[in-house]
Amino acid sequence: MAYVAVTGGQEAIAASIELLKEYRSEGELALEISVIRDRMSLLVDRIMSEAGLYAPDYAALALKQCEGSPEEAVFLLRAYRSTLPRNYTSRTVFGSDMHVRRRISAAFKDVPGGQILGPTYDYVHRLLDFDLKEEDEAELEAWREQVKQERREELDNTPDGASDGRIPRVLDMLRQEGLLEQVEQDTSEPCDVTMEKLPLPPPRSAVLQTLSRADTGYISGLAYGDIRGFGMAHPTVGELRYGSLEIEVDYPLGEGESWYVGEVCVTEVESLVSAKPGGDGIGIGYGCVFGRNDTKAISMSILDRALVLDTDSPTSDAEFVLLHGDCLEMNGFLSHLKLPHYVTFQSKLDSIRNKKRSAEHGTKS
Amino acid sequence: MDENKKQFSKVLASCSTEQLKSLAAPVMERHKVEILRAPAKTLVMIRMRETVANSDFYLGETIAAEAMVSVDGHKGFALMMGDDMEKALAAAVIDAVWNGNLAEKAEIAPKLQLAHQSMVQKEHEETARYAKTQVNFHVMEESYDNEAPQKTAQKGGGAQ
Repeated sequence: MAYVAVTGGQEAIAASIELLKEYRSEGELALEISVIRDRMSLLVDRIMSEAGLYAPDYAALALKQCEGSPEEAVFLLRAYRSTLPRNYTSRTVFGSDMHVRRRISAAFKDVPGGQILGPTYDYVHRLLDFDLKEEDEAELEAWREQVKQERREELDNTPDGASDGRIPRVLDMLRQEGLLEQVEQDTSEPCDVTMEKLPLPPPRSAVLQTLSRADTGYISGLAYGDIRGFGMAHPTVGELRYGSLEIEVDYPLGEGESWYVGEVCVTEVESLVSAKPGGDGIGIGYGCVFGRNDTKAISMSILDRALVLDTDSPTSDAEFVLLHGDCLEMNGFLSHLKLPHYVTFQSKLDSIRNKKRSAEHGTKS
Repeated sequence: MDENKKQFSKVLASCSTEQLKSLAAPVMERHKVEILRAPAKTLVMIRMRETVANSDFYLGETIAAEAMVSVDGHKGFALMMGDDMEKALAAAVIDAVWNGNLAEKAEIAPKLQLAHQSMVQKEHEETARYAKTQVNFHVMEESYDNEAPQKTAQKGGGAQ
């Protein structure tokens, strides 16, 4: 059977795309991009993290364009990003410089700077709040203003004013005591997996970049599998912090000076685990992701450690972990299964028919 | 408003587009302004330090608007997160005023000083949003290990 070129379908495709527009615009109320950005911020965070692009307005636009599909939104952002030049790389950013909004430790009760819950769903009742069906925007606005006013009054009564939100790392206490495993410092230039194919075995920088932009569900599932029994023992969250980081670049018109570009919000985790499989000592797994996403950052720290430990667990297999979790790649590959495979499938049917005919012929003779 | 370039650029970023345009407008009227790098979007890759091996990795990119100008031969630059080209252009003009120490600096500086105060106030308010979520632990049971047995403990009802 030869290849057969087919045509047609363009009109159906155009009609399908038009139908998408109809689906996207169902109902009577317009969906403002600013509403998605401001009130669906955890979804926006997830899209930015998986796209590897911190751009809240554009992530919200992408979500509007694709009816809220995370995989489509990530695709749109990645595609747009590829049209832009990259003229700058930031100066190195340190998590210890974070303006902290949330900071907890499961390892220590008393930590310098205290445990700050910040905005978290950890302690809410998972009961549908039917009052939100009738939520009044004017009342909400008045409530927000009242809260702000009370806070301003509290600030005015604070003699030294508020801090800038910078607090020391929890694990620095253990570092100062020399209780943490020392990992050899990697001073090489970071690998950039957006510019080159992931090298195997991967350098540490490629591992962290790949995990940071991986699909949230994928790395959460792998991390769960790892701690449930396929990998290392139960980790302890030494510190989880969420907050904003200031991004600076070298100022091009003055040597040694820096220029402030803006701020990005990230979640950073240091997990405490065994230094060796089943052994003594304390090792650290590191996770850092765009936005407010505790689970993804914890999962990243678990997988980071699993890949360092190099055990027989599937989560210690760098190729398995790192090559199958990119939102765009995995959904793209799975999507291609919907494209016409007429020729290959017909060929398979022909083969089965031929075998059947041969078998029948053999029986008759 | 004569601090280092980082602080200066942070104050510019905290201003609204309209604020910066109104500060830059008189400069653009009175001086010869050349656009050296037209306002455009660019990616900025974020380089991050991790804590296990103290190595750097690329966290991800962000979008920023960049511009470079020359005001009477004095160069000015701006790179601001987002896609606000007008704001980046106005900021680059103001940066040129600072680099050239032009006369308009005296007019603009007090306004940027006010913007700086407003920015600091907002930063304090932002930090204060989270202060109340700090946990105060209360120890609910005390240990009597190092003390003489209490009456209740002798009866077997004390907390251990």
